[in-house]
Amino acid sequence: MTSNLHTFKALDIAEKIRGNKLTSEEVFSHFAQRSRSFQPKHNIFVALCAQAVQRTQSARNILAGVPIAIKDNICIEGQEITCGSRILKGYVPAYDATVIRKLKENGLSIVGVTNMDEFAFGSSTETSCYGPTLNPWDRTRVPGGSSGGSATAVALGCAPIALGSDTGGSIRQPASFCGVVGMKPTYGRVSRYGLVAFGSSLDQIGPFSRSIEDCAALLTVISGHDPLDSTSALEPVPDFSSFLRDDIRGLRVGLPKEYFMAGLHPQVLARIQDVITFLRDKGAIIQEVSLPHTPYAVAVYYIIGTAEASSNLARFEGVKYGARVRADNLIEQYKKTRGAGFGKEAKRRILLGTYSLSSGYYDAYYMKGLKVRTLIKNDFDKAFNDVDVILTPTAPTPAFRLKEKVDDPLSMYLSDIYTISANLAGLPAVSLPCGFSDEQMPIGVQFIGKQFDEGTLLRVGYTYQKATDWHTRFPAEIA
Amino acid sequence: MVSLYAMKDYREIVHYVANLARIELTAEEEELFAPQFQKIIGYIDTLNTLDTIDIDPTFNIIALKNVLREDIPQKNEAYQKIISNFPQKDGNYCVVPKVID
Repeated sequence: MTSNLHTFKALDIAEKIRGNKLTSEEVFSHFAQRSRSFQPKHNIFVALCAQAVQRTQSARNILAGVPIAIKDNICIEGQEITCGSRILKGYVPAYDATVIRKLKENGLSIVGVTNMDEFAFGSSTETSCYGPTLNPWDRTRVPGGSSGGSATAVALGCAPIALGSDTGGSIRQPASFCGVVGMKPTYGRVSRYGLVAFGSSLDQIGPFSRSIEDCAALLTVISGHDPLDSTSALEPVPDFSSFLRDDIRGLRVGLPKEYFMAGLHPQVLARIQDVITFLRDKGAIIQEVSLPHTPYAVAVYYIIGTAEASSNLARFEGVKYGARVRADNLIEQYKKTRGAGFGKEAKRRILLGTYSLSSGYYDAYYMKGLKVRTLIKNDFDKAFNDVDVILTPTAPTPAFRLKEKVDDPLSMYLSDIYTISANLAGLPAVSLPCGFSDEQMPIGVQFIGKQFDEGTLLRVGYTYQKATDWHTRFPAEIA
Repeated sequence: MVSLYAMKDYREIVHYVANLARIELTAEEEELFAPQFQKIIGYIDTLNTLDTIDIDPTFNIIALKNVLREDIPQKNEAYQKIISNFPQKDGNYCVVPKVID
């Protein structure tokens, strides 16, 4: 009965548990077993968890009993968390992140902690101190990053849903590379308390799932104002499932011309054009828009993001937690601990951030970056006067091969070109699987919405998934 | 103290910035990072072609200001778990080497 449980939606699994057709122990055991079996070939997890005792269930528990995978940068009390880094080896959080507390209160259990690029610095999960996670569809390719482990876990049915974090595309791009749904909520929609910070003005925790229904349900559970996160929005949380309607008649969809330039993989373009045709056939109004400052987005991100990262990672110096390299004086201890504990990409980003914040360069780089950020945000505000949602490819190519970009950081950075602007502007965005390349690798379509308008993104996703089945597919090794 | 402006060589810049960031780099790492740094900074410098004289910076995308809370003391139940993370401890104290004098 349970042998194909991973083909079910999380919501349907929860319904079977409520109807006493399944127990939560059976469900957990099924996904724990799958996780263990795929771990050696794909290196998805940093840790596998035993089933926790469930707390008293609240009234709204449409996901109660469902196991979920959690990225290695979200604090779980009593569970070692390392952010894919040697420098945090042995760190055991004394508290649950707010999103973890909410999951537990709603009766979900954690099946495992997933692999990630070190401190979320990366687009391929190759900078993890545990080695890369291998793409669920082709083990010679990357799963994307930095939430590569979470995306792979959902793609392989190790967990029906997962949480990741997204600072420049780290949920959406791996979702695209792995053929699953991944959403970055509006900045401030989900509490960052307990998320190890990378870019404090850019980071958001968000859901991975196979279906848009599960995405909506999980988003509802984790969203909400949190007094422990002073950047969390006071915006009330709707029941996001109420937006799931098969109707996009009259929806105004914008295609930013700057996103459809040279360098876009031909099959990515072809699949996106299929999506555009579908939307038009369902009554959406397609129009071209312009986001003229798009070419500057990557540069702005690598100033602001690295500046914020250099500040946020100053706390990792071997004093209060994690690994320590001993020395005779404190400054030497900092230098040796950080020299030994951080990987190359982490060092590169901290150095870049330190440089752009340093005396004499602060105005030329950091302030300049913040001003161009305003221009990028203004582009979106202007476009959203004419359209309700913006459609783009999620990534310029399908998943690239392992090691293809590790020696060329700038090339790696440019693979984020379509996802970064949504973080800079604080807007919600979702990636949906929309087909495969000629080499059978997944391709994702991205929808960017107005601030706090996850609802429209969910409606578009629902309409699309009602008519397609990309999101139900599993890699051949599972079928 | 030498200013970053005075440095022409990216290896020197990387070395100087690493010291500011309290990271000890090996010679190989400095060798590796210098040209990468130069390439990335060169890319970022394209922002200088944009005129932003009259533009306000965006620090905070959600436009919240001065988020405050009441100063009500609460019991911290977790302090033992926090102490258990100290790499070196003496009772409830975290032990560190002396600060450079």
